[in-house]
Amino acid sequence: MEFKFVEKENELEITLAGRLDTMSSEDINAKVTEMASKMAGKMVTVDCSDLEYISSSGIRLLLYIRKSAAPGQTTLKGVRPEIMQILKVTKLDSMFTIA
Amino acid sequence: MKDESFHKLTSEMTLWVCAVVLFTFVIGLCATYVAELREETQNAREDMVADMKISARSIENYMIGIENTAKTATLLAQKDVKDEKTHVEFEEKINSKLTFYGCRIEIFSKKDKVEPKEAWDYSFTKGERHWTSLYDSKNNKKEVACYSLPIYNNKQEKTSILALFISSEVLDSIIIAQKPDLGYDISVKTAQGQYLVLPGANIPKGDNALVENTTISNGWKITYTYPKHQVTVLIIRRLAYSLVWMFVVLIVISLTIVITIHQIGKPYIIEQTEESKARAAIEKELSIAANIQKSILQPFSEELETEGCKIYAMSKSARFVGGDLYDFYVHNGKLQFCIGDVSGKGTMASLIMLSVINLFRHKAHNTDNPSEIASDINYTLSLRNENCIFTTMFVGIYNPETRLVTYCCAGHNPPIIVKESGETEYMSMEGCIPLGITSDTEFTNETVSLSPGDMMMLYTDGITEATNKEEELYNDNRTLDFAKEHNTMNPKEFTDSLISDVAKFVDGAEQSDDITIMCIKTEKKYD
Repeated sequence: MEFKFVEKENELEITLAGRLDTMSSEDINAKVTEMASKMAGKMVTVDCSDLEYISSSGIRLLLYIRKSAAPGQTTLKGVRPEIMQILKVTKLDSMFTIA
Repeated sequence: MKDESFHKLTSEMTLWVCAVVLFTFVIGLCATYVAELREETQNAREDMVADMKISARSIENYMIGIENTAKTATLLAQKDVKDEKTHVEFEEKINSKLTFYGCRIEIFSKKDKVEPKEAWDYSFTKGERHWTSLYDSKNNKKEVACYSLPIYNNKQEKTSILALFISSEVLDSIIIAQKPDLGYDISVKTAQGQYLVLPGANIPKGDNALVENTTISNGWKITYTYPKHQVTVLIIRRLAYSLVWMFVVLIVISLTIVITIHQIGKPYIIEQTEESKARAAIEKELSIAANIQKSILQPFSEELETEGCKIYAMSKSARFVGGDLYDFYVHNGKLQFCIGDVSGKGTMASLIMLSVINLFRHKAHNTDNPSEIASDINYTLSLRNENCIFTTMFVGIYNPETRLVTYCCAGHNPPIIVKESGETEYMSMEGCIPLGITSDTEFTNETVSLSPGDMMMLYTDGITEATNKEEELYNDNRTLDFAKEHNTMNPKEFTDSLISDVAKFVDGAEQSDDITIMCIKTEKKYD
């Protein structure tokens, strides 16, 4: 699992690549927690172009990012169909802006 | 278990290290030994030659002693021996003194009948002194050696011969006494080639023996003959002591290495032991927690028949404890049931799972409204949920009179309706977001009608996301196909078969998520 944080003036871009499961989400969770204060009031874009798989732990991480960011300002970009299917089944696609 | 594994690993490592060290030493020693063997052989040979010279000196001194005795006797005889009577008296007198030499003296005049004849002739014709082996008239070698000197009168005329006879047995015993522990054979002869005596021994010739000739100062040629196998034995004996010492050193070094490794590894072993104990204690507590969780989930051993349907459920955690849950409750003639999946795995998920089950059971007593149950649980879960832990859940109530299932699906996988008629499909629903995300989520009810004999299969994503070693998922399609192919089975049989099929698919891969299945099959006829 690879992740990258790019901080801009009013925006934060997070890139996720690989498998976001229980183990890998723990690694990124620490970083997200550290960045939580910087996400406050900002638009957050999560680039999921290279995200191959997401488990419930991974979804929880996305919800945490959404909670930390400005209300309604969390965008998921480049979501693959299999990931999108999971978001639809759980009805969580309505909680993010899908780009 | 890990502590035992470590002990075993340490022991194996120690044995391997010792084996490698020993092997290296042995190879090194063999190489050194072979190199030393040549040098040692040369040294042994030189030492043998040195020993020869010492023993040869002793033999020579003895021979010189005999000669000097003969010469002295001859000089005395020159003055004293004039006639037959006198020389016999002289012989007796001298012989009494020669006992310890093992010799006897005789004096011969020319007119005497000499036995053997050859010695007499040799004495007068061949030189002043000589050694010879004697032969009898039949040309058989006699077991004596003879040293003779002529006796001259005052006119320098050779009047008689003084012969000193030495028993070969005595000479043999003197020569044999010079032999070292590993016997070699000695032959003694004069430098002029006259044989003194050859000891009665078989002397190997040529390549089978190591031959060393030692010529000492007085013209004796003493030949030492070592059979080659004796030489090998001699060298091995010389090297044997060094072998023993090398072996002792090897053992000491190996023991030192073994003890050092154990001493160095000891603190690590102790640390590992303590870690293992702590791990074992944790695992024990988790095992207890797992048993408690299983009992809370009301494990099914057989199908349960109630309210016009058959129910069967099972749950298997990926770890000791898990976040999957199921439950059912009969209230007012209706079957209230639920299945849920707390996000994540393990201890964290199990703690939330217990809360959800307890909340369900508490609310199910008071209402027939699934959305109300979901809403109530959601509100409690969303309080102080800083970590955004969510729970997908399907809450349903089956009315056997109407065969209607009223349900609220909060982000959970859509159940499969398994129809005996063959139209098996995923339920189509609006659904809601999972529980615990926002406290003000609105949950809504939906309904589905079940025909007699229909089975509602509820499950968690541990089934559809079961992963094999090639990282392929069991997936929704395979799950649906299975349901279609086994649409006539009863809940328990269906559940067990599905679990087997999933196990066959993953083929030994580690269980990636908690697995839960609940099957509710309506009876064909219910009054």
